[in-house]
Amino acid sequence: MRYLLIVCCLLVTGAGIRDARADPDYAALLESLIDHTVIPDYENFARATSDLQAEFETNGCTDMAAMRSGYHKAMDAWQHVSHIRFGPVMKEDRVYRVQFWPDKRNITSRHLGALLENDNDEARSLSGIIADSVAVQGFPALERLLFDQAEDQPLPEPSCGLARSITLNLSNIAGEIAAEWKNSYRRTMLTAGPDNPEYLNVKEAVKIMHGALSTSLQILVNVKIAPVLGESREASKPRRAESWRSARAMRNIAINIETALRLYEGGDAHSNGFDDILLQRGGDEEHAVIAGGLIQSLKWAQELDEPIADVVSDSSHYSKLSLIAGQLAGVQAEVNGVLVDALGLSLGFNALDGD
Amino acid sequence: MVSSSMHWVCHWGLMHSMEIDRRSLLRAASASAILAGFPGLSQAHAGTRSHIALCGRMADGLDYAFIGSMDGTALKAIKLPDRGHGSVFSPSGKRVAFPARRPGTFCLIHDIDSDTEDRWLTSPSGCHFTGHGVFIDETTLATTENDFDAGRGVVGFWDTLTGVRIGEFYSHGIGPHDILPMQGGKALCIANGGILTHPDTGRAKLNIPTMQPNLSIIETGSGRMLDSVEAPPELHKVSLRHFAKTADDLVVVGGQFEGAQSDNPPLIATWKPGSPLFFVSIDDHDRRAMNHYCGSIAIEPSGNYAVATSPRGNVAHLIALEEQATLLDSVTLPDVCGAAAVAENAFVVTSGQGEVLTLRIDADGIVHRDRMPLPRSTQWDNHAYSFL
Repeated sequence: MRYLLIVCCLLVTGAGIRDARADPDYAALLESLIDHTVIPDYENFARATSDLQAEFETNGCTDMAAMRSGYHKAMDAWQHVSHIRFGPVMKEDRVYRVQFWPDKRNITSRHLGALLENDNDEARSLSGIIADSVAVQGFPALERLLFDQAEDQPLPEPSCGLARSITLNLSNIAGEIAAEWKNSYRRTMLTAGPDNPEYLNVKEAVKIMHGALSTSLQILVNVKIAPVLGESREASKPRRAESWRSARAMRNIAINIETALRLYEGGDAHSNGFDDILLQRGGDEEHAVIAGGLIQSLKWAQELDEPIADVVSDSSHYSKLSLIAGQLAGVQAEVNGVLVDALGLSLGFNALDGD
Repeated sequence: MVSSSMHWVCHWGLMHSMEIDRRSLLRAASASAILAGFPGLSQAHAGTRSHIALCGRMADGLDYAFIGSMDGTALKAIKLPDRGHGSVFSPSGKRVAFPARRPGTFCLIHDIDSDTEDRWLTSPSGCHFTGHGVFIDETTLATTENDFDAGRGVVGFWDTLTGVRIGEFYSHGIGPHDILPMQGGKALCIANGGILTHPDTGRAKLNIPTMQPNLSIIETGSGRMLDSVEAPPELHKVSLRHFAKTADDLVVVGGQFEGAQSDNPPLIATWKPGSPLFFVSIDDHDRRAMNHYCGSIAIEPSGNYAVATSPRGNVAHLIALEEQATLLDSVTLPDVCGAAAVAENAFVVTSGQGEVLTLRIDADGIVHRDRMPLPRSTQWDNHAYSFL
């Protein structure tokens, strides 16, 4: 145990200890992650957005409760894949068109206001919004349309027409991403080599997947929770939360944590995941920190299932949200430390964005 | 309890590493200087003021600024409150500044051969440093800063003797990063990387779909924009971040691509103010080798060659700056990033894994590399700067 800790410390400080054992089975890991998490989750996203679009097609904008429910299901599905920042979702600005957030300068409201005041209906058609800002093409704009209204009223024009275009756009994008993963990108990721268009070797592909796990934790802490917590409870900023209008900030956080856990486990506890590789290399204690930390913070996040303004106005709930952030930061430290080494990767000291 | 055992690990690690720190510092110092031991290099710099400045994280996990004399006689290590980034020498080479890596708020000012105490600048509330600066004269420093609530880039001017911030000019873009003196100091060239960030959301990028980086030249005395250039629209996601220039103000700039991994745009361009950017023609394979990321650019004093490093691609590309700049050769080094000229036709490159290499280009254009026999206990940070 003590030896392990010494090794950990040396690794953290970059002394460059190399594990002499053979490389882990990268191909099995990647295949498991893609087939148990990425592709089924994108298929689910495509299905949920297609259902949402069908609701608008079939019932027009008459049933607000059904539209909101469809919105929630589609957003649930998106939150399960929003950590994936590589592959088809990065083409044609799709990731930003689906959800342009954080939006500190309120670009969405600005563009949305202009679009609703436009005399020309064509501006709110699918081709019209695709030519407009990414901020009016996805969830944040749709959220404003659906949740700034009374719940028992139908959605009036011109909001209705615009909402229909947005749902069609979301459904198209989700369908394209799911299809591209199945038809080509799965293969791209699993056939790394000198002739591969993206991955010169298999470690690059593993690094990208590991990065998705690490980044999802970082975004949870630095973007979704810390800005809301502010310096103190009195200085908390609930409107800095994601999806506060639709009162689902905590639901997103819970889904993201659950997704991180699934990614870590490769789908579930029985499939090939990062956890198996860590355990094979004797990282029992670190595994306990990662899995235990995710399970604990998921439980807390689920317990806080209420509007974010309520969370931060109650001191014990506020503390619990702080604990979630602390717990996740601890998980991220292990994911970026011991797990990186177990995978035989090295995270560049100098390879951070924008340095 | 899961969390308490983790705290214990961290705490223990810190206690333990204090000793490593002192030892490794002594070992580094006993290697004389960062560059001592390179054949020919230390003699070439004997009796000159040549220095190199860089930042790094030592085995204790703490961050330091290093200043080494190139004749191999002196090395100083100064502890920083957080991670450093770039550095810059004053025109005489007697003073050096280390602005904090973004979103840091400190800047270290060190006088090399006097016993003056180190001075620390603090960025004003609402602004942070971005890791780069230039001296306008012996005492006045210009630093790129992010005025984050306004979402605009600024150049701050500092009296480094008193620590007073004299004023600021608009950088003419978002996310200013590297900065260079032009026209003998009468103007400043700024790489506005185009990426909007805010400390509230850490380093999260807030405007990728609409980012529009540029290189802008402003008049030092007035802030008036003299010239500005953008990449063509299809390359608007190449964040122009780092550059170097030749004696006659030819700029070589390296970018970081924020678009889809499947795209493979050129990252290195040259710019002669008044002309458009010229993207260096590098074949697909060597472009891919950079993995969408150029970390640092240096040009050696003769202006014949530039080096462009990629820590994500683990490669340093050497560029011949002829009429049409071309790729001369590539050197593989994991997590390579820092790069500085050390003599005519010679560079030093450093890595986040503690490696230091010299790259010397001979008259036939052949690249000779030498590895510095340093203990690999310091993770060298993104940049290295030399005063020759």
